[in-house]
Amino acid sequence: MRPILPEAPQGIYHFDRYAGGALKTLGGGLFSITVGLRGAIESPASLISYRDRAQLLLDKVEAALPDPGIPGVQISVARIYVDIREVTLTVEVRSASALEQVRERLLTRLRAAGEVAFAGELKKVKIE
Amino acid sequence: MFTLLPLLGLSACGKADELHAQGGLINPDRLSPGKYTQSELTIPAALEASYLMKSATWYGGGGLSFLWSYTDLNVFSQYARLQLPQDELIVAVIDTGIDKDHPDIAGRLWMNTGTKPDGFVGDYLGWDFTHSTNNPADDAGHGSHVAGTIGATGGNGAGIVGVAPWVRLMALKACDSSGSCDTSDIRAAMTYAVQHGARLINLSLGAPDEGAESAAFDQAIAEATAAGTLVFPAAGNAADDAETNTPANATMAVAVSAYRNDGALCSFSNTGWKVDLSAPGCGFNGSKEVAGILSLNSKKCGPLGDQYCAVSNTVDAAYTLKSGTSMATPHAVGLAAVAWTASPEATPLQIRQALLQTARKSKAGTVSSSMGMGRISGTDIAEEARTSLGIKITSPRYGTTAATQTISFRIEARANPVAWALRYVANPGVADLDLTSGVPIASSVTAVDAKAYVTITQTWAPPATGNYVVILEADSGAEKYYDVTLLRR
Repeated sequence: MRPILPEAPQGIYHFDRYAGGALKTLGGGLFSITVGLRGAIESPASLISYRDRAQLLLDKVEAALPDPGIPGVQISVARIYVDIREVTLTVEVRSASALEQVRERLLTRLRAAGEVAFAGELKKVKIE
Repeated sequence: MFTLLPLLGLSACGKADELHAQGGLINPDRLSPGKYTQSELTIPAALEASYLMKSATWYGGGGLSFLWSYTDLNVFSQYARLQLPQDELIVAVIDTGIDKDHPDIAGRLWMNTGTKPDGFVGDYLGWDFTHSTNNPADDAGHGSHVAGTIGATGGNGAGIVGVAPWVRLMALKACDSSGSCDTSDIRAAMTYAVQHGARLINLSLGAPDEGAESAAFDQAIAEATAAGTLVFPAAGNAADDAETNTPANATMAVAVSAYRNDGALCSFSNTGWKVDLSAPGCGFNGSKEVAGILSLNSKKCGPLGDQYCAVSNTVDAAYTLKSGTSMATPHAVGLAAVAWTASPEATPLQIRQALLQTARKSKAGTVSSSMGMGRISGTDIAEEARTSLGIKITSPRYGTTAATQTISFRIEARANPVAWALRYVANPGVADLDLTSGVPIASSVTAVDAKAYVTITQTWAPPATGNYVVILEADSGAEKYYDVTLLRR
């Protein structure tokens, strides 16, 4: 039995957008994915800080990015958005035909990474 | 490696200096939130009689009034039982923005007077996450409509009045002028809302998804609830099962379907056992469904941002009629604000339960597959908010398929001890379920001190392949409280 509130860590930080490069297409295409960490609710006390958590997310994305396992395909990160619970990134693939393959391989790698709660294509919703 | 940029430094003198230094878009001189006064509770006497008269002409009779939803909720009767709190009650509207200059909402908007660096420069009046600016202006007309239903000014003899017209509305723009919303913007706005003290978040938005987006919203809404903020998403307008609509399908979300003035479900409304409550969302004029919720029209559209957004169903240009679960959700959020005003120390789950407990059912003691625990009601909401337990099945996620289910639920007590029972109903169909029915899974009496909670976990093997509505019942003597979820094998 524990006191009801507060339970979650206090002092949430926001990391504003920054660009790893201008959004541009070089004969290929773009896709956006979002990746989040597991464990925020299950063990909030284990989180050293939101900043560390966001950095951990970035590290996982970075580890999955450089080699998508498709020879001859160049990729680069066009845009990154970092929030406390997830990283949203737009990836540029300089081969339109390989776009889907790169996306699937990247998502497979991220989903297999430890502590990743979700990894999927970024979608939009609409007002109801 | 990728490296996080350092947080932007802010002036120790606070947002006003910061805004001045940055040359921001919001002019603080035009904002006047003021502090609470008890006079803000004198709304019913000034309830826009002129608009009640006009609606008869608009709809051609048929018993449909512009302001039917407010009288339907019977919420004004509760005001006499309220004492406005010392701290402002903040409600975040994550939407297309809010027209801060609308005369029926000016002065009702939350102002950020914080001095701690938060990474947002000049967020004097919320934030526009779609353009990364400090001007969350409504260039679509949707967010202002939603905000007006929650907290439009009362007692001014004009326009409409919100369900809880004393709340401070936090404008967080995450949807663009076409009504499209980047999901990462929505979740970032939720973080902002929690960080800046919002007790309630209105999400009149959604889309089908059962993948990563649903998982992301599930986590974000659970975090917000754990931090003390209750999140209300619209069930959706696809006449489909809300289970497939994110963020309504998040475990800790309070999903709201829409009903019309004759009490029937709006034909477009999503349904399913994930729906927690139903609220006013459309009109019925005797022969067909019509745009039936009157609220504010934003005047921030057009190339220069100086034109009214809605051009149809408008009343005096500054007010417009809309329909949708988007319109239902702010009614529920407003009522939650009334409940929280009556019981400021209550937890999010206790406020949720108060709304569930006071909701009107087609048949007493039942739960509906389209309206959840029923149509929201202001009658007795203040008293219920002060006494209600908080109970919730917190895992597994709604709709989980497994041969063995590990069910966790949380009880937040007001009195000690609490008796609880878990039951299931196999393959329930769509007919209303008797909440006292079902096959027992487990039951016990648990000691829970007042202002404390317990989380109880039970394993259960569904007997055969199929759908199961799982019912949680709890009481500490006087009243029985219920929560339901759906699991599968």
